[in-house]
Amino acid sequence: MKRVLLLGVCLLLTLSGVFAQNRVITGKVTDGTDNSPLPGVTVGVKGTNLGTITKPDGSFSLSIPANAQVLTFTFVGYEKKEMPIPSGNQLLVKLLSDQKSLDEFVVTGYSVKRKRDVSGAVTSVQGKDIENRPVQSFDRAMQGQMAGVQVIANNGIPGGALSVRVRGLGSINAGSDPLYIIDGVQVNSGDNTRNFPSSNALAALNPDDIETIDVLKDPASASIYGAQAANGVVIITTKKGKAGKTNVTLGVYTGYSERIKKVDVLTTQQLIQLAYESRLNRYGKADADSWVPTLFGTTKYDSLPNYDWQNILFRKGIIQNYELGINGGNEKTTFYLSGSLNRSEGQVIASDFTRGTMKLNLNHKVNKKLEISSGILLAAYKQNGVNGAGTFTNPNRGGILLWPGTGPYNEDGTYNQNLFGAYYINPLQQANYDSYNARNLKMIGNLGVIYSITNSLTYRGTINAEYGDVKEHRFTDPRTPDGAPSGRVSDYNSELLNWQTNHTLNFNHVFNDVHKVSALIGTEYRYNVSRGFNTGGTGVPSYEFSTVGSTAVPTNPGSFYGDWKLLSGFGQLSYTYDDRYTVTGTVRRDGSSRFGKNNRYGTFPSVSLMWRASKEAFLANSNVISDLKFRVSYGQTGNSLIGNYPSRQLFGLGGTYEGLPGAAPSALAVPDLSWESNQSYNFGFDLALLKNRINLTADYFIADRKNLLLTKPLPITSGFGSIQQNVGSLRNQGIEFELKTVNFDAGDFRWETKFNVSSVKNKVTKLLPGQDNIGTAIVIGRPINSIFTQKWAGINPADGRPMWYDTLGNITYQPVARDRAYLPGTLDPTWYGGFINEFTYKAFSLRVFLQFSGGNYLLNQDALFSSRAGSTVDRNQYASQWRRWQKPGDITDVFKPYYGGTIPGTSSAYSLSDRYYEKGDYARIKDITLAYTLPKKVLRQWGLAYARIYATAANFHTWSNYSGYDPELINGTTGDFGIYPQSKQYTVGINVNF
Amino acid sequence: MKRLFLYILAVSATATTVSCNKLLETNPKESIDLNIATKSKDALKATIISVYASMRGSGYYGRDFIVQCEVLADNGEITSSNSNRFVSEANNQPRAQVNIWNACYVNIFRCNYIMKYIDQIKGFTEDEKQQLLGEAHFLRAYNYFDLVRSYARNPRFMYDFDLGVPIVTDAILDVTDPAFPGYPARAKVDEVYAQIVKDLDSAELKLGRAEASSITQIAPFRASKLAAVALNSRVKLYRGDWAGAEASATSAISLMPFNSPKLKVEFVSDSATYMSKWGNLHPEMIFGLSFEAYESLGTDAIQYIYYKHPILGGYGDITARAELLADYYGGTADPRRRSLIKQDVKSSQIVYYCLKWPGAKPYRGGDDIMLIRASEVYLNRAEARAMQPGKESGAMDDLNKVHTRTKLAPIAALTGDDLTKEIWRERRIELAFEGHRLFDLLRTGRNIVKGATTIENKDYRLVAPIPTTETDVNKNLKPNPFY
Repeated sequence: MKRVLLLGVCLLLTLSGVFAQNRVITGKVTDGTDNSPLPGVTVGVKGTNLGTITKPDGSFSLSIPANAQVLTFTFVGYEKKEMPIPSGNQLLVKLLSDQKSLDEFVVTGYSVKRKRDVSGAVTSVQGKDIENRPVQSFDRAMQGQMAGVQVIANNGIPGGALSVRVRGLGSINAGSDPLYIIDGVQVNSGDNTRNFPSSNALAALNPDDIETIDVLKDPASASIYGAQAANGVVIITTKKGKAGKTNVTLGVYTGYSERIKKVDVLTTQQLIQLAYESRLNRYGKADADSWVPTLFGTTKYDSLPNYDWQNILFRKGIIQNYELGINGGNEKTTFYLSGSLNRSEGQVIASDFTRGTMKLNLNHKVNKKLEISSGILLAAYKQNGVNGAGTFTNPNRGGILLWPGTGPYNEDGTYNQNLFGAYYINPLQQANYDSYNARNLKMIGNLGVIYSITNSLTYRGTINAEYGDVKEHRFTDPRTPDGAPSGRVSDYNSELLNWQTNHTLNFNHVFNDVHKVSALIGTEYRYNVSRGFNTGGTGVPSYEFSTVGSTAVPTNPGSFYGDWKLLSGFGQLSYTYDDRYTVTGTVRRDGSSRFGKNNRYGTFPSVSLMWRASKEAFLANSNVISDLKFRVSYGQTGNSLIGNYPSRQLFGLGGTYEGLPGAAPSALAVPDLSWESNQSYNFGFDLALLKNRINLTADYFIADRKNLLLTKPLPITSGFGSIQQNVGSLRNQGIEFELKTVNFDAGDFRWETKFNVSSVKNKVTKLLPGQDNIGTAIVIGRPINSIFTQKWAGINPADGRPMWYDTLGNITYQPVARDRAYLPGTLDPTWYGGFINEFTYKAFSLRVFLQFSGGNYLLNQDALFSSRAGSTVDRNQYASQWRRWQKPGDITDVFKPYYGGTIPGTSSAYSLSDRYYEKGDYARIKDITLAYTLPKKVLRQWGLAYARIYATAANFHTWSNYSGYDPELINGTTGDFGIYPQSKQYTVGINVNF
Repeated sequence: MKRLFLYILAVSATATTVSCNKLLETNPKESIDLNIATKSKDALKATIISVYASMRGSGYYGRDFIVQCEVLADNGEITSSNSNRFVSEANNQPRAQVNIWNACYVNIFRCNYIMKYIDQIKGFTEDEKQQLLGEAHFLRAYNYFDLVRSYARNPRFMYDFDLGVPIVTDAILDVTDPAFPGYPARAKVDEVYAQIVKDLDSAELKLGRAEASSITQIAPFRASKLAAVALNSRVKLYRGDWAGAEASATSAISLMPFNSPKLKVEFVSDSATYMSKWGNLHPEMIFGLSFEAYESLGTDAIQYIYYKHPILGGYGDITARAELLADYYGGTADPRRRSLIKQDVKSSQIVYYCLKWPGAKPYRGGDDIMLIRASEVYLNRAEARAMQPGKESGAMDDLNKVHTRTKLAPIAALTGDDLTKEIWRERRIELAFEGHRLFDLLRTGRNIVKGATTIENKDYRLVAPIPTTETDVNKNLKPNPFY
């Protein structure tokens, strides 16, 4: 955006000729806030081509014709100012820095447009709205900020990966992640580790380096990115330098993270009582009277201890963040340089995230026509973690499941290595002795050349590169039961190289003041290669040795390699008549190495129309409506997030045996394999009222996702399980609203509100010929991730047996497969949004950010695992189990304790049914920040330009009926099984500008 | 500058339109093009390796198939405190069964692939060819045998359902071939057994020819003539071909001791040696599967489920059932009861672990999987002889050969049903936990008795369901009764 303005500056300079001049006016331009001189400001005479640029001290001198009336002052990042020419020859001008003007531009792919000119569905969030929040990656900060952009955390691991879905889930077997572009570089996203639980590839970028995030939602906006754009495009623009005084910023915050919720579990004594009842109910009193004391080795149950494993395995984790930025420059060169250090300890023991980043953006104007822009991001981050999912050593699970009667330590202070029950491994010992980490190095660099061929025609060429290196290390200590007898080590190394080059020609011209034409043609090439290897060993001499080299016996060597290439040509033509009617057409043609030789190339067109009604005569003079435009678009994009070689016939590795390598035919050729496509309509309007105090954007879309890759099953007797075919379809439909209002703005008090809400419906419309469903989750006519399960009917008050419903709605004790039914919702939220209120009173400001999501079910796998009414004596269980049925007439939701859980004539009481699918609706105060800006007077004494102190609470409060750790988690058939939950963070911080 | 720009533009335009395909070429490295592989001798030799590696997977002989056949039957039960593995199999819940269909057919495809392409690949010596084909025939037979005994009724107890499994002997690589993918129907049980015997006969011939020349003998961890003959004795026993089973067993016994560089394979008469060699190159091993340290299944290994090793760890989820313990001769007087069953306490429960995968190597999951061994061949012959009139004394000799090795007194001469039952008892004890029990009960018409529960021989749950993924795709496949 700034580049365009700078181009404009060049243009003005070029055009300024020497005309008849009557007098010379001189003056000085300064910053309206701190009175520092502003060099590089364009000073022009309105209605002419005359102009000049201010000198380093902000002064200017300009000859003006006698009839000149008004001077204009324009400068990047400042409000444009028009000023009647005074009679005197000396002029002092103050420019106010203008955040609002920045808002009005969006990066729409290979070009920057004024927001008011955009005819597709684009939403944005400003860097200032996400800064200073205790998150490790910007995708997490995007949550709840933008309509149509759904961010779901896969887990709460500091630095863990997230799932971002633009306008719903768009694929069955291919990826659903949007394309991420950071300063023009198309980067890889997702979890970039192969062994470590989760490491976010996007965590390399410090969120506080971000100026804006623009999301292209509809194919009309995104089709310029063709085959990579079906899931939307997220464009990140980092902060750039501003000409003028060198600005030094310092930011520090610190605080801690802690668990959001503790799950109520039983006590040792309660568990023993339930165990007794379960034996009694199954084998009778004699058995129970002897079995229980034998098992626990005592009859003095009250003397048995109670350990709170959740307290043992969760903690308060310290968070620290330090940032230093310097930016500035002159009319030829601007720079932005920042460094940051972040350390975030998780609320689960032994988990943390440490990152250092360096970001440099450097722009230089060689001459009036040639400009070089460059940027480099260097980041190193390391995560320590603990085992996840269903492993015995997972502390998140252990907190609930570990038997409370045995604790982490023996009497002599050593670790207890033989906990009671099935979960006998001590996660505290394991976490403290083992090491499990991922180290990331990331470099993202962009180099661009901008050349103004004529005033209207600009060439832009870039070379972009992303390099990533991930080293994962896992050491299982020989002193632990899991590492016995002699320890294990495994290392995964992987490397990513992703480079792109693109070349575009941009044409912009206004003919006769009313015919605005912009055109773009370009070509692009991308080559993405990732490779790596892993190795490991067992048997270290002693626990102090933890490297692969120190192991006696090598294990599990492996490697991987994958490359893909994309070659593209694209063009866009846009015509606007009188700022009222705009028509834009886009086409991109992509060729991808991933697809079959018969279908390697795809064409992705789109067209959009915009009508600015507010410019029509009947509205032009309205005092109420400041802007009103209607948008309609249709377009096609593609999804190529599939494996690298799915169309190839391959002979692949097949294990080793007796020291020899195995290999066998592994894949058949599928020459017709091609893109998945997104064919979508968008209808929307933007309305601004009362001089932009109220801004409303609404969109409705229908997105048909076609040619979805489906796995056509083959009889395995052919030697192959399946081949892929492009045959499936699904439809996403949704409505999105974004509302920004200034509710109150008088005197010292200002209250602003931002609200967004989205609703999306998903429906599978076509599968393989003759196929009505894939499993039970994907069924024609239903949304993806439908839930087909037994229906729970409660506990029979007469005998305490669990009951289910059969197909006819009658009670059954032994439900069969056909008794299952669909739940009304799926695992995916159908509505979500955010509600931000910002109050400013004098130097104080309060920001309250409420984020919400719902319409889905979550499988509470922990509850399924821990709701046994004491019928297995191997684990702790939910406190709810104490409500078990005890005698006829008891009305409860917990069955009769019965050893083994299978009461004769009754299905297992532990079996999965809809009772474990809980509503996923939640609303949470994602962020609440109270800030105080120090008064100028104090600042001046300290030699500071700006200082702000603040306190933030993240995930401060949650409203949800979900009984597990936390409702904010990715859907999945395994539910929340051992997922690292989200945490709360409390921080205090300070921002200082020098 | 303008010229440079025009040049770049021209190059770009040319690139997008003309030489696109070149720019889009990629080269997978972890796999190679199939067209290259079908011409490569080394690639074909690697294919047979992949079959051994696949059979060793934890879903097949690496763990599940062996454990399931013991807990579905009456040898093993699940400890009260357990890792939730094999519980439904031990409870004989419907569909809780072995699941080797996919693995076996992929292995069969690979064997078919070898047989189909070996003739068009240059560079094989005749001996190499015979060796590779012999192994392919042996492994194909083994996989068909496991399929037919798991997914079909025994030929002697078919209960009016005589369908076996589909027989596929071709490997088609071209999706446009009209014969691809093929929707084969199930062949009759007898046809499948005939195919298995035919393959084993070929394997015997080809491996014998290769071994006669100076090809390195690689038994017991790869197919050998001895393994082919020994397996044939088992297959014929299952089939009720008593004379054939006896002949094959005799032939196998005559091939022992069999010297391979790794092992001298023979019947072990010395009790101490017999007891001490489990897990690591047991001299009885005619055919088995091995694990190098880097191939270990770790916590998915069979040792981990059978035995809670004091150092290597383990779930120790399987304990011997009382009925099995009662069958041992004189209880703990039977040295096999003393040495190969370990009494232990797990979460206050007295448990009896099987020590045939004892954690014999310093790393987890390193124990050999012994699949065919010398004692079994003697017991095959004992049973085959007992079923033939007039051969009782030979049967007694074979039975006592195995029985007295354990220093127990010889069993006095028996005849008729008494003899058969004694052989079955000896077989149950001798081969306990090695994956024979379910099929030994099924093929002899016996019921499974677990405490108060009896599962009749004809019970549908004892035959595995063909995976629904397969019956959904291949409508020519008739599911097993009641599934």
